[in-house]
Amino acid sequence: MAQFAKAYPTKHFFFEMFTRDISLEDCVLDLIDNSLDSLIKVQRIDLPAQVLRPHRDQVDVARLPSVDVTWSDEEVRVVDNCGGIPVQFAEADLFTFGHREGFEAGVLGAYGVGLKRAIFKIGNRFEMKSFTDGEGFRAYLHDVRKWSTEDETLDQWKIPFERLQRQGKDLKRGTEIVIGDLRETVKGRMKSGTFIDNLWKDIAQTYSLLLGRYAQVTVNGRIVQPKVIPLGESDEVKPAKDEFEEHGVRVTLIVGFAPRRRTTEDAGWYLLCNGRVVVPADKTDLTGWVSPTIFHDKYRGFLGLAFFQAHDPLALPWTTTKRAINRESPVFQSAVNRMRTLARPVLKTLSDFYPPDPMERPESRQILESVRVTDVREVASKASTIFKVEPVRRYLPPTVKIQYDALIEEVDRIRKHLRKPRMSAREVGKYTFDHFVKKECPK
Amino acid sequence: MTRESSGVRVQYELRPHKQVERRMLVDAFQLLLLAEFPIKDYQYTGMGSFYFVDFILFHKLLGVRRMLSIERGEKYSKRVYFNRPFECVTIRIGDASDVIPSLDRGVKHILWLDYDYPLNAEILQDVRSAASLLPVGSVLLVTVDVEPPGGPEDGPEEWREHFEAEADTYLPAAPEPGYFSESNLPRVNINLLERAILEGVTPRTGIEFSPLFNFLYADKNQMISLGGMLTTPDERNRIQASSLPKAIYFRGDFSSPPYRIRVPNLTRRERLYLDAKMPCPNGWLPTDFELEREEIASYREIYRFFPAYAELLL
Repeated sequence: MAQFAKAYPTKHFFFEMFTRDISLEDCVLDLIDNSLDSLIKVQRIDLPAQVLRPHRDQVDVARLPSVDVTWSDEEVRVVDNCGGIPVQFAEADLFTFGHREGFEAGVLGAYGVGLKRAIFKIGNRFEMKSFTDGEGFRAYLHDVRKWSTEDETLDQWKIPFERLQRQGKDLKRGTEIVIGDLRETVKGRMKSGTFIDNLWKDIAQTYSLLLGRYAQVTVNGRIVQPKVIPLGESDEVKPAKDEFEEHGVRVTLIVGFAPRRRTTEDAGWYLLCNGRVVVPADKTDLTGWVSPTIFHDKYRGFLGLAFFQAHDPLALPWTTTKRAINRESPVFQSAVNRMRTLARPVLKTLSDFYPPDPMERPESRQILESVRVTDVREVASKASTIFKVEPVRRYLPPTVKIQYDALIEEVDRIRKHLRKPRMSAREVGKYTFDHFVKKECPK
Repeated sequence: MTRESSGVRVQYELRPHKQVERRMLVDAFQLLLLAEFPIKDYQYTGMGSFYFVDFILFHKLLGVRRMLSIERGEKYSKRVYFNRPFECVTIRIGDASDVIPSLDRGVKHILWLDYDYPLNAEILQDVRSAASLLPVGSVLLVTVDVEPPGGPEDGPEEWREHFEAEADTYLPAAPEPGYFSESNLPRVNINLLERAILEGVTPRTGIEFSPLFNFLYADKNQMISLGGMLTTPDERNRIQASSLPKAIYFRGDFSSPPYRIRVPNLTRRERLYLDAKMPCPNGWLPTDFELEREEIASYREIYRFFPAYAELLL
């Protein structure tokens, strides 16, 4: 007779281990993904097709559906009016750990783990209510820890669930999740004081292309303003674009200069899946920054965007936390090759702007000054093109470089006289020269 | 890049080994033509310098009409335009890295990245880009100088450092002792180029890179030229069924030693004599003058491809 070893899942794993792989912020983003997926389903938004199209109609932001996140010391509440979750779906699929093969998921939620993992990570008690038109449901666990110890048979893998008819004060076409009895680790993070700000920034960045267009998100009553991805262009500098389709994923790549006020923090590659920023400003080998082209301050003007879009979210190269990329994904590997190819002319141009000798300031560097922020969707809707810099001839009076040795003691005396102890020797030279021109030989 | 084009340093037309290589490539393309690869409709992109020898051969002997020459640096741009041999040759002043992403994806290409300097990160990225972008049926060729990089006082340790700086991700994790020895440098270059090609082509579903060429020769510096075709099973079957795999210079994988082009030094009179005996049986030696067995063997391999040089008073 054949014998078998046990291979059951344990609740303990999902409650204690699985929750270690994701940050608290990302758990909240998973809850927001659920809300947005409701909206996308109810309003039949074709997000993979639409998200890169420019939208020229004015959006009345005040009338957009909203996802409201509220944190207090006792509980976390996520309430939306995004359309609600159908009862049949909730009963059969919403609380299962992972989906069956062939299951039609949303376009932001892919794996069927985000909601459960978020609940387990945050607190010991939860209640979820959702209403579509007339019908709704309530699902809850008052003691998740206790539930996770009741694990003798697979029949114990279920949670209390009630069908409801909507009453007067219930929410209309929306969902409410309340998580209470917060875990000690969560309380600790809350105490640090920066958590809410981090969350706000993460939401602003992650849903940069979705906020203000399809929905808005508030955190403790404050509306989150989308953080614009800093892609720039000017008359002289045009971003490059490439696109291809592989394994059911449409890939659009854009590279160019960042607009003025470039920071090292914002530079790099932005990887997006179905319009959701998965990895922002990457400067690692993931996106092709390998020796000898490792990220350097001179590249802080570099900005690259890689959009991966698919109706089947499992085809996309994101991991279950939606905060990292599955490097083995063939479509991602193809994309990296093209990203590297597309990026090179940009990197080369930036490199030429910053020669090894810091005293040399190539005139061409002025090109950077005229770069203004542009809408990535406008660039994405144009035809593929390579990166171009076409310098416009500027009027520059002819100059000559003057270099000479000066006694440090005398340079210091000038600094002291001007009360500018930090003035560089170069600036001292320029200042004294300008002074002479002005006082002794004016035009 | 301030590197001076080898066109300025070397009288292009008088590089017999390079010319044998070109003629072997023409031969290979003719065999591919017979296997129904429409070579004359391909776009040829090369680095023509201002001699355009390969352009002239490919246009006249293969009928290629779409031709693009990449010329680095603007210093000689007038000379380049002045020497453009045919109206159908387009010239782009710039780097290969600017040209590769803009190659028309709707036509098949012969892209010859014909560098006359040692392997570096830029070259590897060009190769990888090309392998990731060229359409199926296209031929990618890369030539690099495989002389030891750096100065005359450098040794294997410095060469290892050079390759680590330029090609770290493509190097083996634990190279065997002696991997960077002088005699193994052609192999180091071949392996690096192969890795870069594979990095480019592997993510492409259903497409492989089928090696065809791996030449090693020296007119002055030792050079490696390797290449192959981006293929699906259809192209691979057609190559296999063609006469190309039987050609002496054919290299269907990069792990076997490269084909070494050896051009013996011969006088005109000797050549005429030898040609009359070609192809000769194994071990044959001329009776009228002294030549080594290896020289005869080399000559037998290359005489069909070996140009005749003569002074012309025009």
